[in-house]
Amino acid sequence: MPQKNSRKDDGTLSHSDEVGQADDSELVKRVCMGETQLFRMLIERHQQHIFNLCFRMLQRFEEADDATQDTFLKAYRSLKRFRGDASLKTWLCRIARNECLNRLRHERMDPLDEQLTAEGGFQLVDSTPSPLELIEQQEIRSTVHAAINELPPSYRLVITLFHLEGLSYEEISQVMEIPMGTVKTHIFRARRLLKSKLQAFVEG
Amino acid sequence: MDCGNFETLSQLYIAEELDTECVAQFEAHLIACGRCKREMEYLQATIQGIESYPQIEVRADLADNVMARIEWKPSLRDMSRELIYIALHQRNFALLWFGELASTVGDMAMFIALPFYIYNLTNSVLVTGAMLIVQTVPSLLFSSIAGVLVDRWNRKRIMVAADLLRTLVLLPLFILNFHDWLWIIYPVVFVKASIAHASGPAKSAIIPRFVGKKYLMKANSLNAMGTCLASLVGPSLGGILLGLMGLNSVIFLSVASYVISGMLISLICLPSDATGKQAKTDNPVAGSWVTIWRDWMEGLRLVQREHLILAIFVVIGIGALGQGIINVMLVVFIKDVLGAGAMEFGWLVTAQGLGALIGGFIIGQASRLLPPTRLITLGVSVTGIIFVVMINFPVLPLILALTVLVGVPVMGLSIGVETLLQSNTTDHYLGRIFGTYGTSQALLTLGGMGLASVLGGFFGVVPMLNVAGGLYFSAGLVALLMLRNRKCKADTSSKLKESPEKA
Repeated sequence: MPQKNSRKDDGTLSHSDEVGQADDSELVKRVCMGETQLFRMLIERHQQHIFNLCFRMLQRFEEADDATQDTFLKAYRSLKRFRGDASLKTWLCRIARNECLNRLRHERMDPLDEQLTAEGGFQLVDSTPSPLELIEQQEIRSTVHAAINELPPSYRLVITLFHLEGLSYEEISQVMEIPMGTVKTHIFRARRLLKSKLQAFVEG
Repeated sequence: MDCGNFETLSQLYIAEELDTECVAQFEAHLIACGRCKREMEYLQATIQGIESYPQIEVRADLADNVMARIEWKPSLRDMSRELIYIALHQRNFALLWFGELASTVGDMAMFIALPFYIYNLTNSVLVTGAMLIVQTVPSLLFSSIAGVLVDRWNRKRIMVAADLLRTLVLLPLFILNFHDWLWIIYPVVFVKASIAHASGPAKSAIIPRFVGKKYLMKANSLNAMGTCLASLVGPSLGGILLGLMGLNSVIFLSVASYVISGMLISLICLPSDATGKQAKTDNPVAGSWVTIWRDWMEGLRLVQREHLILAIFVVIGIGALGQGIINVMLVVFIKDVLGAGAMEFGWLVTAQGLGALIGGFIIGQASRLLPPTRLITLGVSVTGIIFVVMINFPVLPLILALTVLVGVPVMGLSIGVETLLQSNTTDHYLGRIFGTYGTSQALLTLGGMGLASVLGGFFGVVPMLNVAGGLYFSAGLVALLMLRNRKCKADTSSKLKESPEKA
């Protein structure tokens, strides 16, 4: 259960406050020293980010829930190997990303290579004045959301991490284990794919 | 700047990576060029679209589930608590469990008694093997079709009727003298097995209705442990009764067990939605042969279509071929190689029951760590290895010990298969899937029995049993290839997610 914050009568912070305010690396240390229960705090801090990432990669609630649980379980089992070079969030994202890619690979849900080559298939529409203003905002959003779901997993991941989770290029580079330049290229291409989809929808 | 650089510059502009001068030039170009302005609008709308991507709330108990998995340690107390929970809160499951326990005791007693009785009378492997074949043929002929009926009719009524009919079928055996009427055993065994094969798929198909997904693996463990308990009691009773009082006492035991089973299962209250579609077709006349044929084909197509189900059928099929050989040759092995008799055979089957009981407990706990796919792979492989060791070191105490040990992988295999099939098949198809599963298993068991009956005398008992062990091991390798990395719904069954459905 989540620990409640409370202040003792003398004004000092209670144990739960102390724990609640401890940063990730402090909590990791204490978990490694045997305070297993504190791992719950780390889960509660990062579960929504990790679940978002998994859900956007896998696109099924149950599957994403499983992948999130497995991510934390794997993180717990290899917590002693966490050196703290990157933030815990980045490290967890990396584990989640590997977990999701494994699942996608094993289930052949969404073959990466096939979809990456699909980029050439999108046609940029170059014609009459933009009717973008005439389209409902909600329609634009739905089109983009649908297009995100159709992106290749690596593009979906990079878009999620950059735009939705707010990770920096460097952090994404650590999560995805690719050079920063490639991260930028992925973001660039992903946006271009999405834009072309939106354009095709509006003007097509 | 010109339009050719737009793609790159627009992205740098969005990322705020352009210097002031470039920003000014870029913005001036946008004012001058309608096409680039429109492209920019699309890009900005796209980014707004991305950023408005809805966030889905994580499951409230995710942290609890992860912590439960982290802190989990196997304990007799937890297991007992879960068993008591299922027994107290799942009345229907408890009735089914005790009913099955009773009828399986009767089945196991007959299973021990009849082959020994026939072998003692005739001293013929062929005649003994023929009896086992007759026992298996109905599964081949009727199990798959019975699955269609299980999906169409009320599953509870099927099970009760099966118990009553088995009682009636056994009654004539009391008045016969088998020295003159040995052949009568064959049709009786045939009819009794035919009825049992309608009951089997009904039981497997009804369990998911009584317990939720969370408890499915546990319920299957309990169910398998019930069978083991019966395997402990039944063979001993069968062996002792046959040795002391003759075949009639074993028949009486079986009749009594079916009556008790029928009474208990008749007390099950199915929820109204559980009868659903079945109730409408409860009248056999309603299900024309054409419809039955169509439903049957649908079930077969499902097996072909679903890789996971097909993989289970292939793996278990190879194992069943080995099991067929074991069924025929084991009696001969005990008598000729070990120099033992019915009593020792009873001990062995009892040891297997004990092992399976222990195995059921262990597998019920290990289900949190081992998904059903791995249970199946490890189950068949390890069973094969242990069996080969047993056959090649024919010392009774060692064989007894290994028989207990082999109970663990056998239970892993059995529980894994049951859970995978139940959780990867919709309720509407469960009867057919279990029926077809029974048929395919019977077909290959029969093949194994045929091989053993024909080749057993020629090659000898030990080589034949080694082949059987090898087949089990090969099934493990096939499972490794076919089930590897197959994510299935049941893999999540132990992750404490869903509440049991109200039965």
